[in-house]
Amino acid sequence: MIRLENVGKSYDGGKSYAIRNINLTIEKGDFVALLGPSGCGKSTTLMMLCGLYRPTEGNIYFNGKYMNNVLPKDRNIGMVFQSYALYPNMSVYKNIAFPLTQMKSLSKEEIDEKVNYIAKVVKIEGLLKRMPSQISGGQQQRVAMCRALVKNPQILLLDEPMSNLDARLKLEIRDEIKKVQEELGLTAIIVTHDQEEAMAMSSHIAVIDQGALQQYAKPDELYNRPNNLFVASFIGNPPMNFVDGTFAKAGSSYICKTIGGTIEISTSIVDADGLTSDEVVLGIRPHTFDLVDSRDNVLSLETQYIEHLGKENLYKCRLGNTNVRVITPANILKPVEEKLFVRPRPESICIFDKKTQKLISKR
Amino acid sequence: MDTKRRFFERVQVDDRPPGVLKHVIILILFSSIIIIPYAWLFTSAMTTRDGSFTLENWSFLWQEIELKRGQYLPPAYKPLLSSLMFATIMAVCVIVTAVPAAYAFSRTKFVGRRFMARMLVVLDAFPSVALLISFIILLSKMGLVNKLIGVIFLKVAMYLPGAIWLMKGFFDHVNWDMEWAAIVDGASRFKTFYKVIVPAAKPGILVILVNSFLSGWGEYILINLFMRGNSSTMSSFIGAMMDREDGRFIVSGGVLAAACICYIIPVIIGFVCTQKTLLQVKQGGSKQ
Repeated sequence: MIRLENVGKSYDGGKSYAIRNINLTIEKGDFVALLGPSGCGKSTTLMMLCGLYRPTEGNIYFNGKYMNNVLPKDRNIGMVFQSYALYPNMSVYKNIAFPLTQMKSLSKEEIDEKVNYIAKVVKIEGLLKRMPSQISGGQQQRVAMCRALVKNPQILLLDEPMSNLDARLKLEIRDEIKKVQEELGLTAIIVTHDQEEAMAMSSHIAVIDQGALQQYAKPDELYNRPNNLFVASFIGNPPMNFVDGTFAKAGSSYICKTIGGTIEISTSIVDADGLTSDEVVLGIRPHTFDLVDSRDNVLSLETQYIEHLGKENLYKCRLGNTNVRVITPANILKPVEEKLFVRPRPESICIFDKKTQKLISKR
Repeated sequence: MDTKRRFFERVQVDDRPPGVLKHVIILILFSSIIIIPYAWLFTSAMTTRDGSFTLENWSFLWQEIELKRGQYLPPAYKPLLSSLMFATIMAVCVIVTAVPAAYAFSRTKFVGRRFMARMLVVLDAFPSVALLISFIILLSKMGLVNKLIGVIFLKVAMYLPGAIWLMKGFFDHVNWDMEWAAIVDGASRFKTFYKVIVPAAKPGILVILVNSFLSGWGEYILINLFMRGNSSTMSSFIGAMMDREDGRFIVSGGVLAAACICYIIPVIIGFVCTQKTLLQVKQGGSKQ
């Protein structure tokens, strides 16, 4: 439904790019998150989808139609800004009705009907007569959503809509947005830097860093099979552990030598052709360690301290120069003085080429 | 001791330490420096030369005043209206020019933008007195000497750089998001300007409106330089009233005081109005 073909934006004639080589296909009804750290170019991409910025290269298609030069008002979209951007001198009702009044083809009754309908969907019927300065942040956000949805768009664009809200309200609004999107059958694209938010809400996530698309996939694929070190480190909390190692062939399988021990890796997991050298980085999520007593095929870690989180225990360990976090169920407790012997589960381990930072393990 | 406490309890609403009386006295002393001259002015306007209460002084508003050697000053309502017209036209010209110009500076890209913005600051600081000779040449070449419109022209031109710079600052503070939202909602650029941006920058517009009005109301030098006669506006009218004969003022102090009060009132009203609006900056619906 939405297709971005090699889209790029440069502000200085090609010397530097805010975002480049974006290729995405978004189907109708998808909830897509543009995820990445500050300044990576995700807001720029959203602005280009909205029509407020024009791409300097590439093409944008909505339902097969070329959209690069189409004005925002003709794109059948609704946009919610990070600061909500409500008009302070107009009442909530007038704010929501504003897009309709610009259309000049609707009667007062029709406008009234549409405004009341959308206010009911988003649950702010009681606030219609108030001014934006008289309502809370969460309510302002809902008004902004109403204004975006009142023209019945097919696509809803949201620019970090929850970054101004407190933690409790964030969870509430997250559910609200998801519900509205499903109820109205919208295709939603949200820009966020919060990976947990993206993972919770989206059907697909586009991870962007420094103007380049890192990976575009479903949340669990990003979690289990990140394309490169950046995606692996960005997704998941607590973050993935990274251990340097040397890769070598050993008989019919592979081994990876690290400071803390040698791990055996079966050939079904790894595609060794992707390696540029024998230096690799092992990526192991804290939850995917098994605590073992044997000494072979393990990593030995020095525990620094243990956090008792109630549902689980978090061991903060040290392996050479790197910090390694291990999470075990709450009933398994090893004393701090003992060395911790852990074996990563073979199906969850990720191996990255150290130089290219790309994933070479497959499953 | 007891009587003191009772006095405090009666006078004060909440429990304040007794020292506040000292502070009040000091405040009264210092503000009396400002209040006493005004009180003097008001009482002078109401008394004759002998010291008795009268409202005669105010007759200068509709009657002519005789100065020495058969010269007459016209009734004061004429220069009052002139001043009013002068200040209003100046305020309108400044607003109509400065607000769109400031919007362009704030929001659009054009050749020479940075240079012109810098020049605005330079021109703002420029003293108009230094240009008096060029003003004379300019106005006489344009045939506008002895016409109020010529002076308005000069005043507006000298006032604009500062006004545009100030207004640009106000526009800069309006979040870009609001315009973007209006564009996404389908409003044209012009509609975005007057329906969304201008209301958001209303305090700035009001400040410039009132300040340019007061600047026009208080103009003395240029008017006396270019207008023949001595009473084209209220400022020169009052100046002409201060004519002396044998070392004494011809016009009684009471009349002069009454004229000054007429002159001050718009200033006070303008000041009070600006204060209220500036303190009421509404930033609802635009969380940063």
